[in-house]
Amino acid sequence: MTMPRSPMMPPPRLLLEGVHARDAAAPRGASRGSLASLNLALGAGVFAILGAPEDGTLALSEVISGARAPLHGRVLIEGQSPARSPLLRARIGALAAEPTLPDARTVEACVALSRKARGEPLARASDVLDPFGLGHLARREPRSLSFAEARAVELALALTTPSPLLVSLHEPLSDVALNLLGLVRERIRELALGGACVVVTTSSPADARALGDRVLVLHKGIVLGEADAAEPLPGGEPALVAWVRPADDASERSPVRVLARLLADRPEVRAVAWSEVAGPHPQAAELRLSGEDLDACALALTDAAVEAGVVIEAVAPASPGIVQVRAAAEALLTFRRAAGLAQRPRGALPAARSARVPGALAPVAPEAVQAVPSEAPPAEAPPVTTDVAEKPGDPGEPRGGS
Amino acid sequence: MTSQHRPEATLPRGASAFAGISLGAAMGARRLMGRGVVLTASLALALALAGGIIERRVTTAAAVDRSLAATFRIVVPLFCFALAARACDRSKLRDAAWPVARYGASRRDVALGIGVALVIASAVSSALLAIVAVASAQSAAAPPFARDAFTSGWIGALAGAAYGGWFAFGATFLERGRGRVVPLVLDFLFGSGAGLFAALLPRAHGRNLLGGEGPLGLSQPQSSVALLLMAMLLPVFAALRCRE
Repeated sequence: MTMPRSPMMPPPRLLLEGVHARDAAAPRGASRGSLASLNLALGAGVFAILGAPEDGTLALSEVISGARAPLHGRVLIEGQSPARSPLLRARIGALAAEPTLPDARTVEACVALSRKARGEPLARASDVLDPFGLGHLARREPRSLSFAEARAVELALALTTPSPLLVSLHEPLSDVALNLLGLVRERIRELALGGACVVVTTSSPADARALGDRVLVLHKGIVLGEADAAEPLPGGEPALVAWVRPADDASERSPVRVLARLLADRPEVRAVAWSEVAGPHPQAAELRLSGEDLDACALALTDAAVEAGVVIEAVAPASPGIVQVRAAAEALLTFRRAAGLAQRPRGALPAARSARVPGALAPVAPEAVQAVPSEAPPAEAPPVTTDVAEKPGDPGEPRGGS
Repeated sequence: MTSQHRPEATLPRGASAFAGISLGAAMGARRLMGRGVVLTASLALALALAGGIIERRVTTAAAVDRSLAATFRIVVPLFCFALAARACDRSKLRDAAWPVARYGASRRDVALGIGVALVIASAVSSALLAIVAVASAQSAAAPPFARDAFTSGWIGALAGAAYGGWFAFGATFLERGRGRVVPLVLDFLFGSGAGLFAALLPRAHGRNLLGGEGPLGLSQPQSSVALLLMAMLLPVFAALRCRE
């Protein structure tokens, strides 16, 4: 049963159908990770693919940027294969795991070469480098750049792709010699709002949540789970991390301890832990509180902070480490196999934040929602249904699974 | 910085075929200007120079011929091989084209550009090596230097270009372009013969042009054409193997 969709709906920007692929990142061209019959359809928005290279994030990054053709299956961007269409690649911005800048005399010439390859009219390299604070690298020889500097130049080139259809960024917040990471985040957001599909592959759950509208967990080459960036990740518990400091007029000697005591008494807070920054009093501290309802926890924190005379500098949902995410994903995979759910075609998808940006696709819910841990409850699924025999070209929000 | 889609007229169209070839040639040339290539070139020149001096010391009679033969037998193929490895960044030609092709140029065009740069660099350096071999073995008994250097120079250029073509083609095979070793080994093993197989390799034709026996009884002009065809067609075949 497929609900008829509006003919005005655009097709997915990025479509992967039964993709088997492997990278060549291990020594002597051996594979480090692979994709196993991956199906995915992504529209406009920012999608963080969370997983280790062993789970196939590198392979995914390579096949969608066109560096490598899949062994089986199809990778289509606007109906064309990036590995076969140079014109399509001109509209793909990519930050690879290993920087591959064209050989040129200077970074400036290198940027000019890249833009000429895109068929852009001659423009100054400073248009690409300066906004990211990389102007000082313009006169350097590309081979003299450090790994992080070369990645920073590549990131600047990726984020300045004209009219991009897809921007594929592998670990854009690590090993990049950029001081303006806020600008990178802003630029990624701008590209998504402009209609581009931005795919961020990362092994950092914190980066995935910081950048993505949706977080897809890639485990052993298949997308196991998919959630809104604000929801807890597999392996993580509902928790908040707050950075606090005593108010300037605080009378208490240890207001943070008072805050922790107040929070511990609140029924909505299950546990509180804090660590104070070493130094003279009054000390700043990092506070971690967990509870069933994070919004209620945040309110409790605000109340208690006023009472204790503590200033909240920042609050963020706590992220588990990649080890915890992988362990939870493995447990989920085992559970699915044991419950005979391995062939489940699609996961339950709550309405995505990305669906609300202009040009983004409508969310899709599965025909029959299964009770699977760490996934959204059926009630949250939007009232749009699809079935297994859905046409691959049909529009939709991300659909993971194997 | 704006991210809104531009009108269709201003969409990036990728590089044209000519732009792709010129970008590939520029990238290949840049790779061939590296410090490693300069060191290898110095070594090759020193070998050619030493060979000529040794031949002249042994006996001045036909010292230039022997010096040229030694240079064409060992130094030219090995140096062209080193150039090919560098132009392809020690990888497959298809992968060597990727740094530019990823931005929208056709892999085939960029690979052809790299092949062209390799053939030109091989031709120029082989001509130079031949001239050095002639100059170092020069003596009173030798033919006039200018004419000999000119003749040896263009023979060197043709042979070097043919080697460049073969190595560009070989670099499209096997992991990391290790297929470029195959023509080198075949040239060493079978290039000295005069049969059909030798006629496919640059060594036999170079020997013919230097006054030796030609493969399949080919004349010197025919050998020149054969070398020219190798230099021109093999990079094209290599580029076709790199097409999208």
